[in-house]
Amino acid sequence: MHIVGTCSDIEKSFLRLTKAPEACEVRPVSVLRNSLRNVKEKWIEKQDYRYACDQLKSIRQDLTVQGVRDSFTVDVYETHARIALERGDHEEFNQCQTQLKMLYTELPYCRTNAAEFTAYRILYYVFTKNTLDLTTIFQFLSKEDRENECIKHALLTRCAWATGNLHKFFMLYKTAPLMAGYLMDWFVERERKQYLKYIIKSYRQSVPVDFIIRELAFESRSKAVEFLNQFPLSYTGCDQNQLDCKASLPAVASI
Amino acid sequence: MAPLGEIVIYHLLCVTALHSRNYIEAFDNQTACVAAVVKMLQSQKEENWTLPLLYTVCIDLRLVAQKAEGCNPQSNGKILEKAAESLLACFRVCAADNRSSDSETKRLGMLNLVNQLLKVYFRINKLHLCKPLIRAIDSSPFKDQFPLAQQITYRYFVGRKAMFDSDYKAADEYLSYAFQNCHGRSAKNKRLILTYLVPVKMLLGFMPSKPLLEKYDLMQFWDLVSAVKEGNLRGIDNVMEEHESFFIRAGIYLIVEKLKITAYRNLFRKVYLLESSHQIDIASFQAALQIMGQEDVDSDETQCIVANLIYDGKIKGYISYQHKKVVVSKQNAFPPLSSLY
Repeated sequence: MHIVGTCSDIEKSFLRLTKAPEACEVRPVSVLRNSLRNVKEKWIEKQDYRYACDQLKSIRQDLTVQGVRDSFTVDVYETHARIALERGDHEEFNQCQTQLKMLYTELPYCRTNAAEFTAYRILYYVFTKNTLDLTTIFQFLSKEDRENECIKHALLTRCAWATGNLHKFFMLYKTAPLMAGYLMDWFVERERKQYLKYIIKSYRQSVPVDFIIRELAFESRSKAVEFLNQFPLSYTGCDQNQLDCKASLPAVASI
Repeated sequence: MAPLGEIVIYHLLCVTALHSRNYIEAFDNQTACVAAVVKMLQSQKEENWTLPLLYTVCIDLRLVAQKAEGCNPQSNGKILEKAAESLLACFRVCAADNRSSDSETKRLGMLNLVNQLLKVYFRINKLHLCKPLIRAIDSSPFKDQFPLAQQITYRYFVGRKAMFDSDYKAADEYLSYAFQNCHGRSAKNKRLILTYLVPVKMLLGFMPSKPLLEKYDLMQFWDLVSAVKEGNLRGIDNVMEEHESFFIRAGIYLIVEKLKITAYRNLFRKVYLLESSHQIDIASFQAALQIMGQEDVDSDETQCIVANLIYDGKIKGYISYQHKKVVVSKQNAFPPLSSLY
């Protein structure tokens, strides 16, 4: 039997429960709706991740304790997942998307954003190189799911990555829909290193740095240079605008 | 009450619950039954004659758990996880028995229990939990003394795990052992093993023969074989689409997809043989890709595909960015795939 809260604090910090809470420590859904609204407003205003995360965990706990699993719960988890995505909080994102997966199954009428989050889940498995879950997720994708833009993009990204087609991977990175780009940011550095290794090992004598900037989808030349300067690479040509692949071969071990 | 009494009572309670299709209750009773068997085993020093009893109640536990999961989708694997905990307790009782003589030790039961656990972990997708069990078996002095049937089951699962870990050489070793030693009359099991062994061997560069695939009703792979050999990418996509549910249910969809890389290699090799020159225009490779179904591929993407093949040692040569050509080695430009692993 779940309790119904009586607390009316809009803002409440997260405190891990060590025993069953009293009703006065828990907020009812009506208050939680205002809490969520407050978090969303403060996030737009201040972008304070620690505050938002703390508040959202507290809201989530109050919902769990009262056994509330409905469209509002979905809203809370989707909000937290998006904020975690934006700030690169992998663990929090994974917690939320795991809950959302179950909620979408339990609540067939709350699936407005299910496809979007399924797409993020696919990309998350690429990030964690979870081949097992990448295999099983296919079993849960319906025909409609495959037609969805976000899921299509995620599946194409997965395929490009799995078949070593990093050119295509970076094209898809540039056209990532909704918030997929934030998730791909988590493993873009890893794939850039891999593509750089391909280039150094397979091109002779040299390639233009511009080619690398383009293929590895850097936003700007300075960002590209920042990345490349991590490694002891050799350059050639006027203005050092060519990467000397042959001479850079020894650097591959450190990439 | 003596453990035997408890064992019988819980067994009967489980059977009754099964009869009225009360699967969760059946599971709870079977769990208690298993616990009682464990208690009995623990009280027996220098004896292992009750191991067959342990095997039976453990198999029943797993089967009842599976049935309960099937009827309670919201469980999401929790029932099987609980079953795994019980099975682990049984395993530990066996593994800990290192003071008895070789013929009386309960350690002889380890593989049977590990196999039950592997089956559960595969069901609930928790393959990482297999590692400590595999280590325990591989370091066991009884490694080669366990019954053949158990060895085959073990190699089958460990081979599948190696597949997921992309360790294809190890997967080939384990699955081949399982296939060769599996009795000819167990057609169903031989087919199951082949379902995983065939794609692994294909990735290593060995294509299956048509008679083999016909014998075991695995002709889905035959269409794949021709497409891969010809470098027919559209063909591979078609096969993957046509037999999608088969590949997905078996969990080999992603492995089959990796054969596209083999197809690229085969296609480029054909171009190289046709041009009979060791300097080939990227544009020729690009044209070949377009003919074989990748219509929107451009020069950069073609170069990337070639670069990937060079990086993996599948093509010996280099790409000249300035001349947009691939220069391959005069010797062994396309080494046989089987030599690369």
